[in-house]
Amino acid sequence: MKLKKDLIDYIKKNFKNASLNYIDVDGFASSISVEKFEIYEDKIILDKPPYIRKFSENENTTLIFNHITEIPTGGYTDRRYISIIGKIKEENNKIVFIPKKFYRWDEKIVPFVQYCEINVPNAIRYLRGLEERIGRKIRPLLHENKVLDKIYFLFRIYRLPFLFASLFPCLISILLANKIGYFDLFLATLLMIGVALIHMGLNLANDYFDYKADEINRTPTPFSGGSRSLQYGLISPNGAKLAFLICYLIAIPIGIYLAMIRGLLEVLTIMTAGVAISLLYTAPPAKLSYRGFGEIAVAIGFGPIIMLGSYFVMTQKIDLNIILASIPIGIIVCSILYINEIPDRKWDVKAGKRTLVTRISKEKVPLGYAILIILTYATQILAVMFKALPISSLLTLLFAYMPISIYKNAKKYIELPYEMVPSLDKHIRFYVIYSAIISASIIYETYLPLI
Amino acid sequence: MIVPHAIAEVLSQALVAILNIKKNDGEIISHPILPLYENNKIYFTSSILFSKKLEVIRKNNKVSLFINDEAGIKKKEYFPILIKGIARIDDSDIHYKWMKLLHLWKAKEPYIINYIKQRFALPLFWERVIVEIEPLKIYAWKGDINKPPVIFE
Repeated sequence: MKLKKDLIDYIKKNFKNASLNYIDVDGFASSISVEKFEIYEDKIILDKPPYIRKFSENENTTLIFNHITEIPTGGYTDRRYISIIGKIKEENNKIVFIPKKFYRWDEKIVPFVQYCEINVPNAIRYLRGLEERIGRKIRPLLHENKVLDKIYFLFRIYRLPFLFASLFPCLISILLANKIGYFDLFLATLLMIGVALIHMGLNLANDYFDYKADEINRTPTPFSGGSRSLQYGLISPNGAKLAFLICYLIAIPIGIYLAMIRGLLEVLTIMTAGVAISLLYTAPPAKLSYRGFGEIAVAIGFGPIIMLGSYFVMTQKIDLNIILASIPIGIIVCSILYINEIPDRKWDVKAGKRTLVTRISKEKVPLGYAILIILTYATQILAVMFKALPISSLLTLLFAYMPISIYKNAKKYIELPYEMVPSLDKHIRFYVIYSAIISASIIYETYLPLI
Repeated sequence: MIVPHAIAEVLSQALVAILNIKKNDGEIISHPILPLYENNKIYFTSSILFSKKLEVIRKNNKVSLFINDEAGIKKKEYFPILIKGIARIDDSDIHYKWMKLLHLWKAKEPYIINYIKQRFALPLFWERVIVEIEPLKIYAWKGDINKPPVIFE
């Protein structure tokens, strides 16, 4: 092989020394410290210490350049190495190293988290081999404490922190129903449980049906690229299938029960639409998220469907105002999905998952986010004008600075997945603040009317 | 073998060593590792994420460690060393057993304790195999690296 110029420059710039490793007569590898080297496209010339035995032609060797920067308080950073496998020969008391192939890692080029992700198949291969040797299954631990490990396991596979996205719309509907005098704790509790179960089922079904797309993804973040439960061997595909079916099998009877006591046709229609959207989001044949309809499906599912359904169960009424109130909520949940799709953009294209962010140019992706935020506020103002939401809910405008900074970061880091993480986190916080303000404003208007 | 005190000092402080193993096809694989030293034995732990070297060791347990980077070592104590030894892989409990070496790891990388708390985020990184190296022969270049090393057996 020939070393490319950029690799030669990289080695010259980034490493001061190396070690040449060869097999000694005793069968062990031995090493020479290399402090001077001349590097060319086809060879690397090294000084030969006089005490070293004569090398035979084409002996196997590796030349490894390694660097760490010591941290004064202990430990190190700035890790990089390049290990070149090759052959050597001697010429004029010099060692001539002929490179054959190399492997390397530089944490400034491939961040540690990504490096780990790239190596996940190695880990799974090792686990499977170990399982075969010891004759039992091994699930990677999520916490040293066995009880916490099980709790973290449920958190991870069902992505429980994301339940905010469905529970707030449900809560807002319950609060709106309460505002006009309809409240039943039992119905409200059943609704919250049912909605949470469908969402948990959706999350795991998403991992199950998205397995290939998620596996291609080498830069997952805590907010994107799926839960990684299947990729990390936390749960098997069959286990995931069973786990999401259990969620639906508990949620659907709750829905049927609510339909029987509150309105068969209305509740069944809305529930069927909700379950269908949650499954068809990634499940074949529809695979809505692969066809550019995932975002609209989420907006409808987490907005009008959850909110209309919850409101109807509480009031047995279909009201235009609840549909109006549900639109900004649906759009803001859609914006969570949209912003979280940004780090996956490159990988989704490879997997043929044509989400909205993959269908527009990278320059326009942040603009799409801005439009969703503008639409969220615009439809909220409209809902306030029609008295579907309280005027005090407009306090959400005080937090408009949050999506502005997220928009700026999206423009800056569109192709840097890990740099996007603080913005993804911030957007979740924005959503929680936004939904909490709307919820609080409804409670305020119910019990302490402003107007 | 009894590891001489001066060598033990280098091993106890070194932040990096190059692990070399001969593959069946004659090629050598070389990887940087964090050496941990205790009671005349050298250990390192390897995440199952980076398990290729473990597969090679399983087939050939004759390994060598080369320390030629003084990072972490107080200057007066530093000199390059090469250790040839027999490696033993212990993957009988990849969840917890490596933690018995945590005090050695923490002494070299104090921040590691904070990372362990994030096991949730990178679970496969914390499934770790212990590799114990029993030294057979040690070469020490006290002074000029172009001169023959002192050998301890």
